[in-house]
Amino acid sequence: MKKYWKKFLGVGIASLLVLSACGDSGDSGSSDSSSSDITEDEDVELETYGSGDEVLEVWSFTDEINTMVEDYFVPANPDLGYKIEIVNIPTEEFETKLDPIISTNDAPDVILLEQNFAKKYVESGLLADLTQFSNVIEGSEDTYDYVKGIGTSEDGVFNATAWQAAPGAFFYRQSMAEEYLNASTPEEMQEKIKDWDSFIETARELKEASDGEKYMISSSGADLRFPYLGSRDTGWVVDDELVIDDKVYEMMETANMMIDEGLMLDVEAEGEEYFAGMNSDEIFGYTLPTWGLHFWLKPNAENTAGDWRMVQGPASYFRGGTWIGMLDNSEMKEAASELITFVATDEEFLTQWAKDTGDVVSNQKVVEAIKDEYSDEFLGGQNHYAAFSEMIDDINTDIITEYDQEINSLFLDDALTPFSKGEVELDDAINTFKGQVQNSYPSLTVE
Amino acid sequence: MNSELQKEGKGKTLQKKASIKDVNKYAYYFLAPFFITYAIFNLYPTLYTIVLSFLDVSGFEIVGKFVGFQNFINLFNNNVFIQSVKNTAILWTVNFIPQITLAMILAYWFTNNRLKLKGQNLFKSLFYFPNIMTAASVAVIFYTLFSYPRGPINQILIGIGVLETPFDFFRNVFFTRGIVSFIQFWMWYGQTTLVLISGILSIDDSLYEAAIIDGATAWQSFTKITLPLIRPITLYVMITSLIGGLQMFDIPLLLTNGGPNGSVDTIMTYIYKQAFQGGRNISIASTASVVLLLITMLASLLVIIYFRRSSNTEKKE
Amino acid sequence: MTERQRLKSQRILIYVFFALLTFLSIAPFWVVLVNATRSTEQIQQGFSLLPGSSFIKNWQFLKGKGFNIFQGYGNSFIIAAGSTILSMYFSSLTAYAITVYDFRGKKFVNGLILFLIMMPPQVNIIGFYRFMGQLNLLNSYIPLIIPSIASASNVFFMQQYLETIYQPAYLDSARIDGAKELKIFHSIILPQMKPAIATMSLFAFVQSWNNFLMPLILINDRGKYTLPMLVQLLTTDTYRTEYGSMYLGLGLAIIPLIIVYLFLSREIVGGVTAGGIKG
Repeated sequence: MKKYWKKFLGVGIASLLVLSACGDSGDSGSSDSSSSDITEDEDVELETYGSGDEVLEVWSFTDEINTMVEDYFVPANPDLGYKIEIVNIPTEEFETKLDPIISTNDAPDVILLEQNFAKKYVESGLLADLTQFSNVIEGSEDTYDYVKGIGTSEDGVFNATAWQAAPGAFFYRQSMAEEYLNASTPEEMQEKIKDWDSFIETARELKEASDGEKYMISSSGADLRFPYLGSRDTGWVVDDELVIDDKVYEMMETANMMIDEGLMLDVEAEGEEYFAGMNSDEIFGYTLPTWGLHFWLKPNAENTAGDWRMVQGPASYFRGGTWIGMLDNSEMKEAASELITFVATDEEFLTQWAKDTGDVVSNQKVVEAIKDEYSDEFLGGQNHYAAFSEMIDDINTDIITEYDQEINSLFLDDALTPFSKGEVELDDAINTFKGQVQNSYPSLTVE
Repeated sequence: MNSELQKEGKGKTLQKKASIKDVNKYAYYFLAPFFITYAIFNLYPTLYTIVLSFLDVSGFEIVGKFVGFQNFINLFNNNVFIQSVKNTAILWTVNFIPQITLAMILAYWFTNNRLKLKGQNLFKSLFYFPNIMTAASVAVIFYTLFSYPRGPINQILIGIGVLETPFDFFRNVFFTRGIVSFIQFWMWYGQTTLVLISGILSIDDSLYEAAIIDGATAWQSFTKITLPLIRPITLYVMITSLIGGLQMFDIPLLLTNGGPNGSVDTIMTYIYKQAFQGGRNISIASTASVVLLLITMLASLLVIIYFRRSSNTEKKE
Repeated sequence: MTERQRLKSQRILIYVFFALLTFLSIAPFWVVLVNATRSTEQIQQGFSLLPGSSFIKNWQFLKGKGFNIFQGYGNSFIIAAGSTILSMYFSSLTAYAITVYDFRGKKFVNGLILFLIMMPPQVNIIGFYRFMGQLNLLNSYIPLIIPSIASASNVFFMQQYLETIYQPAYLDSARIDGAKELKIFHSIILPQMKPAIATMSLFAFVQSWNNFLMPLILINDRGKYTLPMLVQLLTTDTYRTEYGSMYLGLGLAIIPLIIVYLFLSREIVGGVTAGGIKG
């Protein structure tokens, strides 16, 4: 009997060993290949900077932080004393990767948050209060209020900050404005689209003047949604209750009417045709934020470069942007605060970053100091930096809630898209949307 | 000599009895790994899921408080969930009826002695082929084939003049459901055919010979002999297909993520989205899982009862 | 028309129908493989059944975006092989225990196995996921491999097979020779079950290889992604507009199964009727 048991246990243990060996080999396999990737590719999964025994683990959906750490932070701090490990995760997977482990020991120390989901973590109670670090407080004095507003929870705890401001604008084709709309300067153009009524009138004018060949905008999900949402008086959720602002209904009617009248091409936001339109002569304008100019418009507008101009458009809004915070259960908080202070508040760094990338940074003093130096050939020499900086003051952050990402996407899928395409009636669209919101957040009151 | 042998034989039987009595306890040791693993990785998680369905865990919370049957009540008043149950039923029915029909016809042809079809093994392999392909890959393949505006299907339909402008299949409820059901049908009809063939081949040949002597046509022998006799295997096909169909997940999720307008959201995609997206309502996902468990068991039971009853009435006739 | 002619024309119609079904079985995969070698521009311009010459370019784009197909092959293989081996060994052992011994509760165990087959496989994922999180087994292959020890349908099939080959007298004589029970299983029963194991391992392997939901909820680390998870990545924005590379990624994901099927289709088709849950 005893002998038998030993044998039996032996088999069991042996198979467990085989398995754990498998797991190990999987581990080493992944780290091996990613380190070899570093030499070959830009897109990597994990990169390490600096040296030391301790590791500051950073999770990011954008590789801008890699550049910041490699080219600015580490050179500025040669004696770090710890390693910085950056894990890059695609935006669409970021939350599903982070959420399951955020309250465990596997959680990173520093996380970078896209505006879409920043509030969710800011309100989670899992991020550290940044005001406990004097360097962060001092550095944040000149940070734009809207940036701090997004990073502050309902209870007033300052949990995350940013190096970037992302006000939004309307980019349009100068040649078309002159040919069809008699608008030769951005000021004249802005006058023609200063509010939604003029915007729609101008869209009709464009259609008539071009015999229906040109469309004012490309997509309701991108070009109408963000400025309309930005001009709401109330956010999606007030006192745990879903609120549908009048601007939301107005947006749906506008989208429906613009598609109906042929004023909008109506393609999927950020789809293939959406980008293709930037390089064709079919679309008059795009609604894009600061980073949209650099990451979306410029790379997709080879043939049309130089013909673009920017104006505020019918509403002030902001879209996207990257916030940075640290987890409260991190054991590397001091190091984390050094990194956050540097990338989000260091004036020298922000000035250099703005010069190197053209990014509108979050520090008002820096922006004021450098804004007049800019002139962008892509925009026919227009100073986009000064133009953007003027838009920041009008941004309303009170309407941003932790539910925005999910509710915005439910609104797009269940209300805006089907209604604007004429697939459903307004009441049905709104009811479906409400049902979906209730389904996602059972604790909210949905009338 | 004889008695010697007998004695030895008797000795062996005694020994055998003794040894068997002794060895039978080994059964428990050999069964242990199965049941221990099952308890840890299946039974406990199932019980845990049931417990969670009575709590209110969501978002970043780890513990929840007891809420009784509130989650169940909410779920039955939740149109999104009800819709996902309906979708699952529609998608399964629309795939299963043509599937079993085609499989019956194919099985009839394959087993028909008069037709003597050649290349049977080749065709069986070809028809079964989609079944071994990864459902996730198949979903993405069909997504690209039907994609708008320049997917291959749109290109072909415009090329041969059926369409003038590209058609967005995945914004249309009818076509999206149709494509999901078609994929299910296409992946599984081969398997169903093979199972039915094996059922038909197990029928005693003499029954058919007797029928031929009585002057029955091939079709008559099929409807009067084959169909009633393969009822058990049809039941098997139906139950397994039902259990599988109620778990439908990979294809609707990867094809359109449940869209348009939630028309191909199934019970499983509902559970997944509730637990891992949006408000991450773990308890509601658990409640839906418990409901899925009950629906599955109830559906299987109904299928069994239905087949029992109809075979009883037939016997009486 | 004579009976013979009638049969002949019937046969022709059936073959035409079979040709149509064959086309349906092959065409989608053919389009993927062809488009994997064409450039995004060619794919957008029109449809073709003939390969192009952009394979290398598509491959470089895929690789540049961190789509590591070989890692995916390796990960999927480790999981599928591990769970197949465990499942085959322990299903045989369990079936052996139920078939060979007379023990109290045998009937109950028999019924229980049948009941467990009917239990829908995915209803406990929430509890499973949370429990694995508590055991710190997220991002590990253990929850993807170990549970295959308890596969009721495999046990059931092994039992069916064992009943047809099992000869009590043979085992008794081995016992008289002093063989231990586990040794009897290893040296007598397992070799006899080889044909059943061969068939069932094909299905167990393919099933694990194709599994999407479980790895999706358990694995976070990109380096540990299985093949179906990599395929899911192809639907994300990075690849959406790069059709050539997207098709190539899909093609690479399906090629191993196509090759396996070319060699083993007879065995697979022959074993289909042995069981398994379907959809």
